[in-house]
Amino acid sequence: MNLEKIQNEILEKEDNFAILENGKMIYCSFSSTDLKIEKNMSLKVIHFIDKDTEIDIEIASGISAKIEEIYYYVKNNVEINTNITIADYACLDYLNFERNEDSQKIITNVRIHLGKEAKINNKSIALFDGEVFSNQYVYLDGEGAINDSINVIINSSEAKQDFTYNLYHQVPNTNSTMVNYAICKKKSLLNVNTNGIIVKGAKNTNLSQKVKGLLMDLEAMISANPKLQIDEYDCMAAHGASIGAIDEDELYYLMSRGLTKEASETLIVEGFINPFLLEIKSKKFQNYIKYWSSKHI
Amino acid sequence: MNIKEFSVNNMRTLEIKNLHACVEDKEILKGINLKVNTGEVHAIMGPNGTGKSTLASVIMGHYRYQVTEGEVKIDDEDLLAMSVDERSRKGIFLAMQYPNEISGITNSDFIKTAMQARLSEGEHISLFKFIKQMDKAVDDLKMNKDLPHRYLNEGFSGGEKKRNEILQMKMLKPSFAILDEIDSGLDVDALRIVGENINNMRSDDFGAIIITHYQRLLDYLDVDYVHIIMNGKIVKSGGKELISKIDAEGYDWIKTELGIEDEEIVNRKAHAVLGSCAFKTSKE
Repeated sequence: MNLEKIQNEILEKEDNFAILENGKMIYCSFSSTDLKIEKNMSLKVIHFIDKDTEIDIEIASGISAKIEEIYYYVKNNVEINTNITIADYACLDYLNFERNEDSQKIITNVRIHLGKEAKINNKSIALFDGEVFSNQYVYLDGEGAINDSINVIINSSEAKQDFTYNLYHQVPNTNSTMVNYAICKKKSLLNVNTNGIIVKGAKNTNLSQKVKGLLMDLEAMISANPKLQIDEYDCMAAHGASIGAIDEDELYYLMSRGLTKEASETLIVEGFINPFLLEIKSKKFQNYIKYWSSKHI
Repeated sequence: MNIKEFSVNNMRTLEIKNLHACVEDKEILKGINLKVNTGEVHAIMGPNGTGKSTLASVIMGHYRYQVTEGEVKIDDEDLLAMSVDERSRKGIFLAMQYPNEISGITNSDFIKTAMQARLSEGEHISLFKFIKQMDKAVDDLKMNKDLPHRYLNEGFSGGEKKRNEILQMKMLKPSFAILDEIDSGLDVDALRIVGENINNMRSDDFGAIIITHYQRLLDYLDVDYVHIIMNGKIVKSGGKELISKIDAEGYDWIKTELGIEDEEIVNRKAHAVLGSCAFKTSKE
């Protein structure tokens, strides 16, 4: 681990950060040995992973935290399980930046539990190089819990990648929105499954899911499968999916200002990612994500 | 070499010869001839559907149009052989009638990228100079200060989009700008501001083709030549006096003077000659 390199690439001077090797904390800029957050704070969690890993994050009741989780170095055929528990009245601003070094198969499972009136602003960007099976489970366990998710996936690996997002509304008065941007290049295949589940008794629930797919090559394929499983009458649920190629008129407009076709396509795809980056305060971290995104576009 | 000689030697020319173009097998341009030098402003007028916007799109290289005959050259280089982006980098700019909205890309990032595309490898735009230049252009066009940070044309009013086209033109400094109905959607004040800004760009390094229906924009612009397009051809060229005559009398006098029939009538006769048994006119 080269701390200086990490600091140069993603850390600002004032950042709290923790470095984990296969889920075990090996360095922390503040006095802690785990990821139990018990005071209001911002934190970057930097991962080095080369074997199966369990990660546990807990946000204590009433706490407001911001966590940026970064798969800084992920290698080999690994399974990564992340459990996030957000206790009653707590709020988590969460960003997960996922990538790997090689093209080996990756399995990720992220399980998020939200307590009473807990909230998560949940963002992820996935830039994997090989086969992927990724599952995210958001359990709205407490009344008044809120989940707002935006996920960006770019698959230019020429491999099959499966991303499944599950939203479980278990109790009344819960809200969730989810927008997934799926970008597929070359001969890659990207499956984006979204499942919204509202159980009986989860009254006054709102659930909305959207998938927007962008095909950048003729041989690229995206399959969007939005599903709703509703067992309660008193709720609102909506889902939708659209998949298409880059708009020829948009390309023409950008090219008419001197941008090459490739540069225009890159700019249009960056348009998917940029609103996401705007919420990241650190310029270094923004540039880090931009750098890796541009390698995949 | 004195300044005048230098200026003449650096004059650029956009020349269109016998240009024919079609869209989905329908011929729209039927032999356009036009020569524009830098330092000149040409206005192109004409009734609806006669090929004005098609001419602009064909010069820029829009994918829907096919050139079937003729040539377009910039300083003796074949413009038609170039891709859209190459044409732009060669100095052509088209201010579009309906500019696209592109989400997630701010105006300033887009313009900076477009300016960067004009530089040689290894050269970079000075951020300080860019911001200064952008601020000045925004001020000149009396646009909102937040405009550079908004996504490209997204949520812009019709007038804001048109001003944004002029903003891009000011920043990219093309040799030839084609302004396709830039006056539509502009209120009186915006029209004056846009007109003044185009006028201020007049120099030996800049030429313009202004496509319009009305005199109102041309009130603010110093126009050297006026051309009338009908049925896909330039049928009349002259000076500024043509503008006021058209504004007062419309285009019918030109049709009468030159014996031009409306395309619709010509087509109907053509159908009759073909004698299609399934053809019916409203009179029948």
